[in-house]
Amino acid sequence: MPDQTGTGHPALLDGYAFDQRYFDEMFATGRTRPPQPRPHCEALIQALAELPADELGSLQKRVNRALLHEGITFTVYGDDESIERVFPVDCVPRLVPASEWEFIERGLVQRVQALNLFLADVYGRGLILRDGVVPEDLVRGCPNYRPEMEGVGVPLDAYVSVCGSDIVRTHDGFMVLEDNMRVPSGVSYMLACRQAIRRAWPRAFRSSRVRPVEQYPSELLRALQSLAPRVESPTVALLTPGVYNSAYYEHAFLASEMDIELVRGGDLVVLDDRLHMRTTHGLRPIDVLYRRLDDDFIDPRAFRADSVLGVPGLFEVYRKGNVAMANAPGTGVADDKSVYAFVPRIIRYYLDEDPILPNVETHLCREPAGLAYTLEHLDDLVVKAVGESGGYDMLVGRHASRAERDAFADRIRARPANYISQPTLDLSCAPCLIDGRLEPRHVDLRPFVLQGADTRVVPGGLCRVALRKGNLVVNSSQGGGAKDAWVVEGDTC
Amino acid sequence: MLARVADSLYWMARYLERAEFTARLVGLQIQRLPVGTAVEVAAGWRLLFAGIGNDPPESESLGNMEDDDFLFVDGYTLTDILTFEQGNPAAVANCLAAARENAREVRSAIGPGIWSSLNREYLALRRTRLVEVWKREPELLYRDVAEGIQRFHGICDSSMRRGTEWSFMQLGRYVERAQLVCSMLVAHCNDAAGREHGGEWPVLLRACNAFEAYGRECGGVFEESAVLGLLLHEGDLPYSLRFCLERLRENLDVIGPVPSDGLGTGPLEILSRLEEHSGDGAQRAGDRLLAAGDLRHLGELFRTFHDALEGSYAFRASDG
Repeated sequence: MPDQTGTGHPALLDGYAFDQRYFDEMFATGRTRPPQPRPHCEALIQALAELPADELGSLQKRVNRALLHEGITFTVYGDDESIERVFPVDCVPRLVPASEWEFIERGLVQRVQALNLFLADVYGRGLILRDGVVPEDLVRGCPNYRPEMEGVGVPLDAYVSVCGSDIVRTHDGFMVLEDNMRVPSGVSYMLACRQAIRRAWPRAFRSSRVRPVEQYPSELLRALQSLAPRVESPTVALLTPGVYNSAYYEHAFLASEMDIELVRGGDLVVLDDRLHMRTTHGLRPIDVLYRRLDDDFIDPRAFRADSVLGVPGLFEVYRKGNVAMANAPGTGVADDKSVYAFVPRIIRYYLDEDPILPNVETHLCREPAGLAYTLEHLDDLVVKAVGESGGYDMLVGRHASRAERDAFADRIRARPANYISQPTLDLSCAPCLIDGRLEPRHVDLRPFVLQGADTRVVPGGLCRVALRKGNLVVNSSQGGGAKDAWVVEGDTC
Repeated sequence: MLARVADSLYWMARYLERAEFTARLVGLQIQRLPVGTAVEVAAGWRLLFAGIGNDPPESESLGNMEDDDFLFVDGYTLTDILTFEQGNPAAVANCLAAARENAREVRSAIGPGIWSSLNREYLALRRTRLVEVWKREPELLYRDVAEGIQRFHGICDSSMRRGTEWSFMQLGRYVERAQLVCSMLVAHCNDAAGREHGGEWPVLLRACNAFEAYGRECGGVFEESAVLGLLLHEGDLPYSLRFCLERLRENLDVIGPVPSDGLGTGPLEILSRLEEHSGDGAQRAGDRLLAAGDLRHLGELFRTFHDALEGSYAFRASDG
């Protein structure tokens, strides 16, 4: 079998199925020339080529064992057999050249700044609605719009302090697939992947001059502290729903790294208009709460009355400015999948700039034309429920049976405003170790943006990968895994 | 420090101590299955179950085992009950799982190294099938479990700051140890049948890592009063009640005064009563003052001490 890849290691890449439809993150493919390693990947490819035949498999086992022993797990709801699952991490990293990263970084900073301005506006004067840039009924009717937030002062106007935006790439370039502005998760997996993969590839890691991500917890803490109301040394705590939450590992990890308390609702109490935690030596006030549960559950008096996860009276303390919360309640309106379609206009409206990172073409089923187009082209579209995340309540038309498409069409007709559609994207691929060989799998990238007194993006992010062949859904709840994302010096080709 | 975190650290340490002690006892019992007489083996099981507060499932049969084959089969069943039986909360695997659940609650407080050390021990035992282990050298399993838990304590010892987190763990560890030792001593003092064949004191001394110390101090004859003297008063022995009480006082001092009064008797006051009741001012080895009844009373005082800790540091306040 000839070496198609120029790696000098034909056995490892034997049968690596290059598909011209998809951008390959490691190899430049063209119609007129054989695939070539991209320049910024050369050190890694060299390291791959130097590995003894079975070493990559052993290396993957070492990575898996490390993740298992460290309990790097997530939870899949409704799986009675095994609530905790080890997060699958592919041992071959995805590389992003510095020039591309700088483009992504600029685009994300622009996006988060614009969306924070949008949130301050819609919960304030509502100028963008009055000017008809975004339909008022779309915003006010959004399930994640919180009228309780109208007129509430938010420290630094940083409604979104932590944002995880999903970036995809096709042959047309990078695009933002969606923004996660409520309680974005995955950053601990990014850090855990980095630790495991750096151990696995020490020489390639050094020679590739990978930009560090380990500063994320300290930068997050700095951003959170900057939100604190009127105190010199603010007390910050992370509010978790508890050990059975799918992202509990992440909550514990971040609290540990930031050296702050990991609290549950039952640990907290409101007294004299302040939020306190119950300690072994009495009550201690909290100034900033990094909450990792949805708006609905943070306070049964303000939101869902049946919530046992939150703290009665918390929202009133927040409203009075006696505690800061990250992210602020009501940020979900900015990552609603219908509002997403308006983000380019939102950027132009507030910043008077063209969007650096484009959106994916989006059809709103709430509009007659969008509904008609969606129903007519269901075979080619991905349809998503506007209020859902994690790959739930969505249809990938290309991979669905006729009966599944028909059933989904009925759901769309019943509640058109609940759905949007997008073209099925030809997501880029990266090599993954599958059954002892490298095979291309579809990937995306979720970088994390921090907004406090300034805006920062940690170089890299969680590279999610659809481990099942041909699958385009990368969510861990749908069988996806992750790769380490290395931002390395160099340019792509 | 969060009251809930203190609670989880305390219980994590208690469950680990229970798992380690039970593993050591089961391992010692298994070691003598091939060499002990039926009467010795039956006495061993009886005391083991009584000491850890488990009811033996077939207690009537324990005194009537004569056939060696039956002995081995029964040994397997009893070992399984004490190790993996899902319905037995005192089984080693269940104690380890409970310790891990508590550790999960406080992952951010104990840090990744300590967590992963415990997680490794849990996963190793979960992967184990007794039927496989039984074919080879089953006692090695129990040695591994006990050593794994000791390794965990070693990692904590070398990596944890000596603050309140550490101290609540130590409180859990030594309250559990003291209660277990009291309970084992009561079971042995009450075991008239066992005394007829020379007693089970050597096994208890081995389980308490005190066998060699006993030999050096008291020679090769195992007498109840001498064993009691050692396990109650010898402050240099990690399994003696005096050693446990000293650690409890040290760690209460680190944690500091109880935050509020009016919650009944505080832990320090109970500790003083414990010291008084188990102190050697009242008796020394040989005078049999601390008979089974007195030891039971000590065990009850330790339970009161536990209740005082929970009440004083509001362990349970966050449950509602």
